[in-house]
Amino acid sequence: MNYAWEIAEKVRNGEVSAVDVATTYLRKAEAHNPELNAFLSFFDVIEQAKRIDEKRARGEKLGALAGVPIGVKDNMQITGKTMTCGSRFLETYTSPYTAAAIQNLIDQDALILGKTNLDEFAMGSSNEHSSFGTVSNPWDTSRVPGGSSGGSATAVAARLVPIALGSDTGGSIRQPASFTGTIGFKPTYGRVSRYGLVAFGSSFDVIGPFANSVKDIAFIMETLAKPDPKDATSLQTPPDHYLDQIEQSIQNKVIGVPWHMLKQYDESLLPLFETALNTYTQLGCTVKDISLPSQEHAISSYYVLSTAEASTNLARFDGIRYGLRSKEAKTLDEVYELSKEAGFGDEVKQRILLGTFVVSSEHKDEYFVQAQKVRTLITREFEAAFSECDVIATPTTPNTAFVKGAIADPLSMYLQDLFTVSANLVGIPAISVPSGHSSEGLPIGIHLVGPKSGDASLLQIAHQYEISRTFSPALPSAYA
Amino acid sequence: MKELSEKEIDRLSRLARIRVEGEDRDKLQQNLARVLGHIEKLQSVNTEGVPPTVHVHTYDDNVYRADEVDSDLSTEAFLRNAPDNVGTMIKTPSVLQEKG
Repeated sequence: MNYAWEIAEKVRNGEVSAVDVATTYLRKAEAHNPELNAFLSFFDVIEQAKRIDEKRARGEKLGALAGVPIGVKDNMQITGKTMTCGSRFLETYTSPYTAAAIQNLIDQDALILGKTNLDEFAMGSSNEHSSFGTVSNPWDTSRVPGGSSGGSATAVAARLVPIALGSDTGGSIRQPASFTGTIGFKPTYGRVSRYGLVAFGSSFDVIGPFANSVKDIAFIMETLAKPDPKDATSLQTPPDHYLDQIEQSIQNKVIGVPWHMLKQYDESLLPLFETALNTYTQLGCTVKDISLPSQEHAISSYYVLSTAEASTNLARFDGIRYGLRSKEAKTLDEVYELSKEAGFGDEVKQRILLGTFVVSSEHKDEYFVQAQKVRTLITREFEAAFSECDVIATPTTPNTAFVKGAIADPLSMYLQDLFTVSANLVGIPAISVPSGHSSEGLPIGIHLVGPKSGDASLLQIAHQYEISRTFSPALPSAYA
Repeated sequence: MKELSEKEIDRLSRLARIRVEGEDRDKLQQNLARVLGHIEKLQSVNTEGVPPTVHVHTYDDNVYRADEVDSDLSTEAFLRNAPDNVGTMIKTPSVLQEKG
C-alpha cells in the first residue's frame, strides 16, 4: 500500500484503520530519520488518526484524504507547532496560525506526520544550508537529496510518507525530485494559496507536492488547488478535474525540445532523456525541435529578481516581534544587526546582500529593471513555443545527485537550476518524472513544462509517460 | 571577476542591517563578486521597448474580499513568540538617546 489514493480508499471503506496507517508510517519514519535527517519534527499523528477512525465509527463521511500521512516542508505554518524554516533565527518559533494549503489537507482528513528539513528559508539546491544538518539521499546517503525541499523529497523516496509538500521558487521541488527518483510538481503560480508559506520570492513561490506516482500528484492537487480569499494572488478560476484528465490519451500531442539547451549536457545521461522521448513517440506524440534563445539569461534574471524579493521579504526577521533577538544588543540598531548576524546562515546573508545590491538606487536600472525586462522576453518566448507544442521537455537537472560538499562555489550551485527556473519566471506549471538511472544507479528525471493554467494537461502527459515507460523505477533497496 | 570594495560591503551591510564581520566577510565578498560577475551579462541583452514583468498574471481588476473580521490569530498566541514584552506590548531597547 504505497500510494496515497489507495490508503484513502481503504481507510474510507474500513479495510484498514487510520491508526494502523499512522503507526506504520510513523514507526518507519522514526526508524530511518537518524540516518536521513528528513524530518525536523514529528506530530501526534496517532491522535489525529484516532479522530478519523472515530469519525468513521460515528457513521460520518470521511474526506478525500482520509488517513493519508503527509510530510510538510518546515516553512509552512501549522497552529501550535514549531516552524524553523531550517534557520536558527526561528528555532523556537511556534506558529500562531495554519497555512491555507495545510488547512485544506486537514479539512479532508489527511494526517500531518511532521515537518521536513530544508535549506534555510528555502535557499539552496542541496539541503546543505539547513541549520539543522544536511538531509541524506536514500539512494546513497553520502549524497545530497537536492534542495531546497530535500527533506520532503527524501521522505517520499524512502517511503516514510506517500506524499509530502514542498515549495518551489526556482526549482526547489523539481530538482530534489530528480535527485531522489520521486515525482515533484510545481503548479501554475497562484494555483495553490501561499497564505502561511514563509515568503522567499513572492512573485515566484508556489507550494506543490512530491509523490511516487503522477496519479497521487493529481489526487492531492484536487484538494490543494483552491482559490483563497487570504491570498490575493491565488487564481480565482476553479481548479481542473486532475484525476479524470490524466486518464485521457495523449495521441497527437506535440513535445517541444529546446535541443540548443542540451549542447553541453552530460553525454552519459543523454540516452535516458532520449529514451523518454521515444516513449512519447510510441504513444503517438510528435517530438519537435523548438528554440528558446533567452534561456541563457534565465539564471541571471532569476537570481537578480529572487534575491531582490528575498531581501525585502526577509527584512521582517529583525528580532523585534518574534524569532531570535541577540542578547548582546544594547541599542535598537544592534537588535537588528546582531540578531540577523547570529540568526542567518551564510547563504541567506549572501542572498539578502545581493538582493540589496540589485535594488539599491545606483544599480536598480542596470540589474533589477533589466532582469524584469529579460523576464518579459523569456515569457514571450515560452508563449510563442506553446503555440507550436503542448509541453516543453528537457532533463530536470544537469547531473544526478552529487556527493555532500562537492559544490562549494555558489555560482555552480545556482546553475543546478538551469532547466527549472524559467517555469518560475513565467509562472507556468512544471513537473519532474523519473526517467531512468545513471550507470552509478542514481535517478534522474525528465522535466515537462506546460502553458499557464495547463496543470491538468501537463499531469496527463506526465502520467501517460509514467505508465508506459520502459525502465523499472526501483526503490532505494534499504527502504523498500 | 567583478570587484566589490570594502566600502560597498559596508554600505550593503548597513542597508540590509546585517553585521558582517570576521572570516565570513572575505568569503561573502568573494562569493558576491563571483555571482555579480555572472549576472552582469544581463546588461548585454537588448531590451529596448520591452516592458518589465512585475507579476506573472494580469488581473482585470484588483482582488477584493469582504471587509469582515476573519482571523484565528490571537494576541496570546502571537505574544508567545515575542522575545521581550510588557503586557500586550513588545519591548525594545530605547529609541531615544539622552544627549551626552
